[in-house]
Amino acid sequence: MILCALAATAAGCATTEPQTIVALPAPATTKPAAQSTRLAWLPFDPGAGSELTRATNDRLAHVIVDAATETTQAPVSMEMAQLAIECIEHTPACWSAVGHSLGADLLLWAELERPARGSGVTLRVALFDVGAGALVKNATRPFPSAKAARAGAVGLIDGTFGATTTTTTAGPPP
Amino acid sequence: MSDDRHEWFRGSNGANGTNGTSKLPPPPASVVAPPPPPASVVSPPPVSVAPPPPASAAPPPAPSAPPSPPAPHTEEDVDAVLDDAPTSGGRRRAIVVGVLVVATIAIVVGVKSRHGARVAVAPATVLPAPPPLAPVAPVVAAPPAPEIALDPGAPARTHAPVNARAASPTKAADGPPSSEKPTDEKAATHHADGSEAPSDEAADSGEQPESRHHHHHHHEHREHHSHEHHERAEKAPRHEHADKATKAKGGGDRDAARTAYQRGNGLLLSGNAAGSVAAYEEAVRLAPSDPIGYRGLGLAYEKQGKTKEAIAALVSYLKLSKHARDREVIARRLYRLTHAEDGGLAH
Repeated sequence: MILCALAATAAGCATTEPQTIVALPAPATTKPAAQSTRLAWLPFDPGAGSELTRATNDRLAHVIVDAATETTQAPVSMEMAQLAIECIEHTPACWSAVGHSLGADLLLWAELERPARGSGVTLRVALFDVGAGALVKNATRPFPSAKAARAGAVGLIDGTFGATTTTTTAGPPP
Repeated sequence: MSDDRHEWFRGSNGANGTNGTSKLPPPPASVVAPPPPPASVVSPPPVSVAPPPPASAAPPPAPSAPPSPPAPHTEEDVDAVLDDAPTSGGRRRAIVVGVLVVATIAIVVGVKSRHGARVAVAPATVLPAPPPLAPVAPVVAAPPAPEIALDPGAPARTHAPVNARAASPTKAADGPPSSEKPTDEKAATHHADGSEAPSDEAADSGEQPESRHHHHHHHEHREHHSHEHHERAEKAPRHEHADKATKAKGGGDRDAARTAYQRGNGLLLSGNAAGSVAAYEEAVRLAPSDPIGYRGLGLAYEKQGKTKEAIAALVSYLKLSKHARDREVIARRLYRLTHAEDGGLAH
C-alpha cells in the first residue's frame, strides 16, 4: 500500500512538472541571433606562391558583402580547415561543416586548383551561405600558369563580387 | 511304457534294497541273480572279515553260496552292506567324487582366478615400471632435497621426501636448460604414484601453479606442451605484452585522443595555434598509433610557421595512414612545404 501510494505520488509529480516547463516562453531569445550575419573570409593558401597569395588575400579582405554585418578573417585556409575537420570534399556539406566550425554565416574564400598533369591552374572564388548550405557566388577561371593566375586573380575577384568589392590595397605585381 | 515301468521297478528294487528281493519272486531273481557274482567279486572284504571265525571250515563254498547259513550275524551285516554297497557306496563314491570334482573345479577355478588376477594385476604393476624416468627422478632430485631451504619459512621437514621432487624444479629454475626436466620428472612420478603426488607439492608456494597445472592434465605430452606454452608465455618478449597493452589501451585512449584532437581543432580554427599544438600533442601521446594527432600537429606547426616540425608531423601522418582519403592532399601540402621551406610562407 505504501509503495502504491509512493508510486501514485511520483506519477502525479511526474505529470505536473512538464506542464510547468512547457509553460515557459522561449521564442523571444532567437530573434537577436538572427539579426547579425557574420562573414568569415578564409586566406589563400600560401602554397600557390607568396605574390599570388598576398594579392589574393588583400583582395578578399576588402570584399564587401551586403548581407554580412560582421567580417572577420579566418585563421586558416579552406583547405586547412577541411583537413582539420576531416571533410576534404568540395561539397556544400563540407563547406557547411567548416562554417559551423568557424562560427560563420557566410564563407568567402579563394583557392587554386592544380590538375594532376600539366602546368595549368584554376583559380576559384566562392561565397557560401552556411545556413542555406548553398553557394551564393562562385567563379572559376583557368590560367596557363601560376604567374598568369597571379595577374588575373584581382580581376576575377572584382568581376565576381562587382560593386561590393572595395579598392584593392595591393595590386598585382607588374 | 512297459520298459519304463520295468526299469522303474528296477530302480525301485534297487532303492528298496533287500525288501525288493524278497517280494518279487522270479523276474527280479533273474535280474537280481547277478548280485551273487558281484558278491563273489566283492567277497574279498568278507574274506578279510572272515578270518576271525573258523574260516578254514568253509573256505571254498563260501563264495559260491553267500546267503548260506554259515553266515553269522556279521554276515548279515555284510550282506546288508553288500546289498547296500552298490547303492550307498556308489552314492558315497559319487558324493566323494562329486565333492572332489567340485573341489578340484573350485581349486582350478580359484587358481585360475588367482592366476588371472595376478595377470590382471601384473600389468598394473608393470605399467608404472616402464617409465625409466621415475627412478631417475629421485636420483636427480635427491641432491636438491636439502635445498628445500629455498623457502626457509616452510615447515617442510616432514615433506622432505616429497618436496625433493618439488624442490628440484625450484632449483632447476636457476638454469634455463634444466627447466624442462622437472616437468618430465613430475609427469613420470605422477604416473607412477597415481594421483596423490601433487597434494604436498601444491603446498609449496613456488610450485603451486605448475603442480596444479600438471594435476589437471593427465597426459604427459599435454603436460609438456602446456608447460612449454607457459614457458613461452613467460619468456615472451616484453614488447609483445606492451603492444597488447597499448592495443588494449588503444580503444579507450583513442576516444580520449579524438577528444583532444577535437579540442585542438577548435583552438586551431579559433586562431590559437599554440593551444592547438598542445592539444594535438596530447592526442598523439594518448594514441601514438592514431595518425590524426600527427595531422593536426602538422597543420598547427604550419600555421605557426614551424615548417620543419610541420613536415615531420605530416610525414608521420602519411606513414601511419596508408589508406586515408586526405593522403593526396597532405602529400601535396607536404611537397609545398618542403619546396617552400626557404621562403617562410607561413601566413
